[in-house]
Amino acid sequence: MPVQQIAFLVWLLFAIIIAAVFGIIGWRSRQKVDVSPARVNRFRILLLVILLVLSVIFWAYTLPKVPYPTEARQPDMVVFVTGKQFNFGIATHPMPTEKEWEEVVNFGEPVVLPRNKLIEFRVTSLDVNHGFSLYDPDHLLIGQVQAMPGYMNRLRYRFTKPGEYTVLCLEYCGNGHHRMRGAFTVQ
Amino acid sequence: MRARFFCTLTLIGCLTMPLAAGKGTSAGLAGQPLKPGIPREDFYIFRKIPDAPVFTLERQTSIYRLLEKGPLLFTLVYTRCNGVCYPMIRSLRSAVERLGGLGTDYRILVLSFDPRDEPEDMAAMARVEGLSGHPHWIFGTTGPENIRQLVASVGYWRQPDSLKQQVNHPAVLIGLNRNGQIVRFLVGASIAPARLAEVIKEMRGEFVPSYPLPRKNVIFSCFQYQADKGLKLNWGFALLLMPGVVTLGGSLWIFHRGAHQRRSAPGGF
Amino acid sequence: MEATTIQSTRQPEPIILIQETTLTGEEQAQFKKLTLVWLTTALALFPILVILGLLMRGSQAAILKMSPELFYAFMTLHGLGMVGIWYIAGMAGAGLLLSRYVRPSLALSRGVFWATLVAVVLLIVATLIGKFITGWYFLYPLPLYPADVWKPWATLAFFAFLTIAGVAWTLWTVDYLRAIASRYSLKRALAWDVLFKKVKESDVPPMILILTVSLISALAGFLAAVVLIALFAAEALSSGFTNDALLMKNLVFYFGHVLVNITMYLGVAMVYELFPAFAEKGKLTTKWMVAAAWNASLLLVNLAYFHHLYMDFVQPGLLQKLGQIASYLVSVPAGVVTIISVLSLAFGSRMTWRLPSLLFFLGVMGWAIGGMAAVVDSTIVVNFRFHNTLWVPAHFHTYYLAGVVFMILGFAFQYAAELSGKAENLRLGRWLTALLTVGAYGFLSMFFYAGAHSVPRRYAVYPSEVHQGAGYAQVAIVFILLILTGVIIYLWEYGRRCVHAFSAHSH
Ligand code: HEM
Ligand SMILES: [Cu+2]
Ligand SMILES: [Cu+2]
Repeated sequence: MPVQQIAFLVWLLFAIIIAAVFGIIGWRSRQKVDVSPARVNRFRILLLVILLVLSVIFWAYTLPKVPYPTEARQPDMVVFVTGKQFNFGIATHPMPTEKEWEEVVNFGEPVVLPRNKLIEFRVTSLDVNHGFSLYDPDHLLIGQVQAMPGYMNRLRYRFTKPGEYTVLCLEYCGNGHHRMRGAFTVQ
Repeated sequence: MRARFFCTLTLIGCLTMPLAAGKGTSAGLAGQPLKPGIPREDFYIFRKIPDAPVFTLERQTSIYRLLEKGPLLFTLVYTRCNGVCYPMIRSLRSAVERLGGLGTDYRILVLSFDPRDEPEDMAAMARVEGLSGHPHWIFGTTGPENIRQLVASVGYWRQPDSLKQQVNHPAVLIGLNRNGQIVRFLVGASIAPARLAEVIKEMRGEFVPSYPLPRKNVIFSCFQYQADKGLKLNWGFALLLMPGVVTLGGSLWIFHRGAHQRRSAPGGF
Repeated sequence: MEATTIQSTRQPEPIILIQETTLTGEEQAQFKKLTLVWLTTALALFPILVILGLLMRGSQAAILKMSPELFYAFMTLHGLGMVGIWYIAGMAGAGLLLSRYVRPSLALSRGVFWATLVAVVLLIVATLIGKFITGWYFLYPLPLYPADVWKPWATLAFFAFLTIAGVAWTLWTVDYLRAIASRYSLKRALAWDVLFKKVKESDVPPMILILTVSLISALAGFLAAVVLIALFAAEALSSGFTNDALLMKNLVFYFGHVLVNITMYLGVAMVYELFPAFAEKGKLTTKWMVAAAWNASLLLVNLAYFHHLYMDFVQPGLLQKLGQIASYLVSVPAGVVTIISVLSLAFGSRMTWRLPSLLFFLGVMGWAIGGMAAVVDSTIVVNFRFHNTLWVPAHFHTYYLAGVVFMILGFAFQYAAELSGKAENLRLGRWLTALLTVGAYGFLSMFFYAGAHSVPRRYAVYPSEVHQGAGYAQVAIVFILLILTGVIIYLWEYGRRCVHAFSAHSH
């Protein structure tokens, strides 16, 4: 199940519980019941403890999985990504200047990446912030990193699914933001 | 009254600080001017450096043999340099002394790209920089054909300047991992410890997910993250902390001032 | 069940305008009027900004055709406008409630009002006419890349708006703090006597605690904006210097995150102060849990903003993880404490549910649901796939629209009702609440659903890869129309009461 779906369902579950509790309490406001403050307090502490324990479990489960690798394993292939209003230059060679970027964007060969290999995307921008994203052949967002002027961000990914991948811009960058894109193939 | 004056002054200070300080650091370490022809690491990243013999006063070895003992920080110089070579070595030395790890995590190889340089010349250079006989700083020469190969493999260039009887060349420090692959370039004569720390990390086998590229005239850089040493306070970081600190001070002051009114007001607490 | 006669209308009981006040007669009248002016200004702008939202959804639904420049102008104006009006409405309401205990400055509030009006005009001019379209957080260095879309004067107008609003609101914030300080010491305002168990409970109301926490945080946020504007100016005015994109990003999200959080807290402060009266119970006191939760928020609100930078890999990894932990801890304790307080007040109270109390109650629910969505998104692995998708607008629209907006609508209605003394039609109140709630959650669910289906935020039109976004937008439009209907009915009822209040006074 994609991460998105899990996250959505977790949220939905909590949202339904919250709504149900508010609904029930709202309904129960119609009868006179005396609640002792001590009981409310006990309940409050209980709930807090439960949620904090849940949080710690969540952290223990998710924090080791952050998308920032720690080990400098040798990537099998390096791909260079340079954003500029309103296109992504994607190539197997770097494009440090506007001229080279234009070359890639206008005449560059589409990049083909091998499957099950560690790919390093070296992402930067020549003007404003852009968002480099990976949309898989089913148009599911599978990861992203910011393309920042003056910085080199390194995203590592191992593709398992072959097909056409799309790059959409995920940081608002001006009036052509929604048109800004790129593509590559995984074989 | 005095307190109020002081606070106004602090506020004005805070507001103008970026402007004033921006001018001050413009030539500083953050901004290395980007000349055309600067070696760009992206073109060479993860490529393997060719092997070459290394001749020092004491012994003869080779780059690959040196790599067997661990990663290398590698740079090219020539001893007759009136320009960037000596300052770069000096800056590298002070950065290395601050960061530590030399000898355990990596060693430093300084090779001459000038065929006229002899091992004696390189030893003299080491002496000038106070590194004579240092076990982890290797100053050596190599053969002319090897120089050509090495220079080509890292995108280095040399440009004889007949007028000054000098050779123009860039200052580049290259991080090699234990496989002899290029992991990072640091360009410029002054080596920022924070940047060097990233190179060392990467050479050691840790992944550095991001780093600043050589940039022009950056007013403040933000986090200077140093391996093992945590966050370093610099101007940019200070600016980020400033709102919090000023707020803390400001709130304390507001409530301190309120104390007078609390005492005088009827029904005060 | 007893066959009690179900009353269909109710006289408003004095809940906001109780006797307790520090103001003298004339001053109080002026203060009341000014508060009404503030609230009315915000409420009058609200439907306009909702219509901008409707138009944006129309473009995304591929129903309306508009130029991208116009779309992004709407987006920038809508975002900043909404954030702004709810901040001022929250501050104005909080000010009125504060005057029960301390004396905020009337003159200053008036000055801030005029400055805000000027700022609003500048914002409208900069975005709608000048096409300064950088989005609500004007991420560096976009404002310095106008291309041919906007002229330098628009940039200038925009930064003038920021500066004027920023300075005015900073002063406003400082004044409220000053007012609190003139009666309570910092230790008492932050309930440290309770926190460190010197006393079991404090007679300093929870509202004062929450406002102190909020105002101090807001001050830090505004100062971050000051630094940000100064750095922008330094780059624009001096030739040859550039800023560090990472530093600028940290600053803008520090500011933006705090501002949004604080607005929420202003609504929550109102709930703490007023909901007990709606539930016909005694005032809440500041107990240990309340003190601990809100002090934790004060401490952590400075760290939680890191969750906006998860996808900037250059941010040190330690701070990223700290950001995740802080994001959980800043929302969970304060949320739980507040929610349980409100629920326990309502439970078994036999309160009469009227429009304001319903909106307060549901507002707290919206805060909880939106907060939960925020917590999900502040998990780094999730953010890897949610960052800058419609999940982001989804969660903040939830705790804004279905949270603090509900609370402030409740507050403003109660206020106008008390001023006018006009009876409230209970049935209408319930229908109106239902309309707003169904509209809001329908509209929000489409944002959530789209976010979970990889649809990016801030797209004027959706490219074919995420064409599903258009379908969700079409459904959303129906619900937005429900909200808009609800808002118009609300404003009609609110307006009638305001008019009545004034005509009753002026003879
Ligand atoms: C019925 C009411 C509302 C509607 C229909 C609406 C609609 C929208 C839409 C369509 C967007 C653009 C989403 C995207 O594609 O990124 C948006 C953005 C936004 N809205 Fe709303 N909204 C409503 C209420 C509010 C409220 C109450 C707030 C309170 C602060 C708010 C604050 C914002 C902000 C800050 C943005 C982001 C602007 C940006 O990305 O620069 N909205 N809204
Ligand atoms: Cu872009
Ligand atoms: Cu973009």
